[in-house]
Amino acid sequence: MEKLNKTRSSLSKTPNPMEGEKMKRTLFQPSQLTMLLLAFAVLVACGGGGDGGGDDGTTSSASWTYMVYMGADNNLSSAGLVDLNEMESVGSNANVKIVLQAEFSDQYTPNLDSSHGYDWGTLRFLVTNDNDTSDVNLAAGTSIGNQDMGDPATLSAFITWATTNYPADHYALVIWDHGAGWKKSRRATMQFKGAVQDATSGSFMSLPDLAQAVTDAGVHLDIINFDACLMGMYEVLYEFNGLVDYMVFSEETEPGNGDPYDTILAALVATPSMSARTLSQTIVNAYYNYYSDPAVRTEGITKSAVDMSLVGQLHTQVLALADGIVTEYNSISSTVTAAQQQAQAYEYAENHDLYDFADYLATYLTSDYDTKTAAADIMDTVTSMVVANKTYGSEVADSHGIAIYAPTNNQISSASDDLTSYGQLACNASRASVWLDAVNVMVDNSGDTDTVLEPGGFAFYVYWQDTNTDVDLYVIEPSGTAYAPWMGQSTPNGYFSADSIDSGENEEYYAADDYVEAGDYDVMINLYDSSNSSDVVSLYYIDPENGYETWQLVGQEEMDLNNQYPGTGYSSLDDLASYSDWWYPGNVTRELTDGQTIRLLSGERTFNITIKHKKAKPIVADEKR
Amino acid sequence: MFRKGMFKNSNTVCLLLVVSAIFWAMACASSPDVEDTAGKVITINAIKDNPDGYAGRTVLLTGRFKGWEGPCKEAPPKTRSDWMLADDTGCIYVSGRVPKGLRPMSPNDETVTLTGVVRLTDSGVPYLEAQRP
Repeated sequence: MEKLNKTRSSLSKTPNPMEGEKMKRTLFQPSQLTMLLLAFAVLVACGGGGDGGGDDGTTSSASWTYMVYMGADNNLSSAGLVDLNEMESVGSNANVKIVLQAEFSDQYTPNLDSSHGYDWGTLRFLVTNDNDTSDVNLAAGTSIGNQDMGDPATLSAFITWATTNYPADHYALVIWDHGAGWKKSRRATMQFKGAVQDATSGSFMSLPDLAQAVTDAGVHLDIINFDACLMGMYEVLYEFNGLVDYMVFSEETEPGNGDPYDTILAALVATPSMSARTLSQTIVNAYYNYYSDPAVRTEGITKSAVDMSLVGQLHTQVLALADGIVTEYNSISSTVTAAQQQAQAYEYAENHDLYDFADYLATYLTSDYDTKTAAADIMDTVTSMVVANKTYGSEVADSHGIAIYAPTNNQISSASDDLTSYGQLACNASRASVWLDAVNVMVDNSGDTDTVLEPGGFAFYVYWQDTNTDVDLYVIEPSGTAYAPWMGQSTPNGYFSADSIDSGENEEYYAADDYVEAGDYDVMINLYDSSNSSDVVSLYYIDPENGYETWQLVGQEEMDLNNQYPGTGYSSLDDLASYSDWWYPGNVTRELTDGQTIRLLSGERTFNITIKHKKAKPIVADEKR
Repeated sequence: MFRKGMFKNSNTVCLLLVVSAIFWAMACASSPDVEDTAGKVITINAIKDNPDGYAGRTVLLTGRFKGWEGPCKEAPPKTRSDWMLADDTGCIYVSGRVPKGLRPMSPNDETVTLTGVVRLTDSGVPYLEAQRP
């Protein structure tokens, strides 16, 4: 930390007048004169040639150097070009240097070589205003060969190059690419996901590697802005603790075009004296303004800026929360489980908004519990450290700027050993109780530890003739519980289409998860209402795991309301199917096969679905035949 | 394998087949924009060939998981995390949660079956909004 600050000071701070006087007094000593000349020669060499150097051929200090590390050698290549074009609409000036290192994809933007003379290598350059809002100027860049953008050494070298050649009072680093929070890659050569994918090199930089790259560069940054998905996490913050003053990121996924660079950089160029705090807030506001604009209107947007000086305090409180959950779990398990279910979640459903999660615990636990106290402390700290937070869309409305990993057992994969990898993050190192311990408790207690899962992937599809007929598809899962679209879309082992009465379609689906509980999956079909008094119902089935890779017609049944089930008194599914409004086509079985089973740490039997009683319905009993 | 067939009465079956054929023919005649999807394999190419006809429709697709490294040439339609699904006829982006256990940066042609609603980008390119909750 001290070393980093010193490095930054040597690059950016105005010399003390007294130090200047001392230099004058000793300026003519021969040995130091030689050293100064050597240093001057080095500076000139760095600043003047090839891919280095300021636009004016000097290394005079700017207010801000805005570094963008764009890993666009992947399916985001065209989005990278859009963002570069936005940067070029503003361009650098004496006070603001916009510096880019980028790589684009020959697979997803295949014409760049012929249209722009691009050699598919890695470009470095100072972005200038090209007076062309319709195209990018890749010729402004200098190729440094095909670098592996997913290699931390490449990122570190870029930071060093940019800060050496474009010194400034303040430094912002944008990590532009795919992002995935802390999560792990399945490739053996990679331990974690993080951000920055290089498809050509087959790499994806891990979260610890990202932080190590910044450390190795030896430059204390004012801002790190993750223009990437799902990086807004406590785990990410702690990995960069001490390396940066403010962090900007998103708890949810980001739209393909990411940040609006034109408005962000225009604001910075207009006010180069902008503080790091203000710039981080400006990025958040510009992002929100762009995606909430009626012309764009992209919902499900989150963006936040965090004051890193409070990360240590937050970490201490998260450890206290972990300790509370671990030691008090037997008494508070239902509240913790409810918090996992109720707290704001994201595309990775195991990521929850930290404030919202803590808020649930603080609200519903009594004051007897340390967990409640720790949760309340976290809420206070999050409120203090999140200096800007914007959301757009009701599905992310309970986002407060920082997420945390809080999975249930059905959200982890033992095959990829999620929890072992999670334990290797900096936030989980060397303490008696770390958040990993709380995660382990939540995972171990959120299901039947004996549950064994089988390959699933099968699906049922019901179709009938008249859109005015209301037919309901029921699937009775191995637990004996019946589920249907009108109850909700989730089941413990799969999911449904929308209820046909809501979608207006004459069809309903059930799709099993990739891995499901062993046992029978019975299909029941009910003609609930029909303006024609009868309808012909067809059932189709697909099951790639068992070789049925195309839809199979199971059968058709003419159903009517002439002999309706009275509501009570059936003894079996066959008995129920004897009524004219019910059809029992049969079932699919997933049997235990020792050679194929995949066992999660704790199974996934406990799963609370939200029952939406949209209308009165006959109740299918929980017991099976 | 699906067990317990429903064909209780061959006469009923014949009657139903005739009735359903008539109904389906009527349905096709009244909806020329898109073929009836019931009981048919919906290919990705079918959607791409007739995006307007499929827009807003719920479909069930089976394909190979391609993550972020597949043959779809267009940009991700909704978020940077959108992923690709391919079959023998083409490739389509899916916006929504990746199936459990799969990693978009390291796809391995895993077979994926999913339901979703066909949506169109501003430029008219179809993609699937996954219905997984």
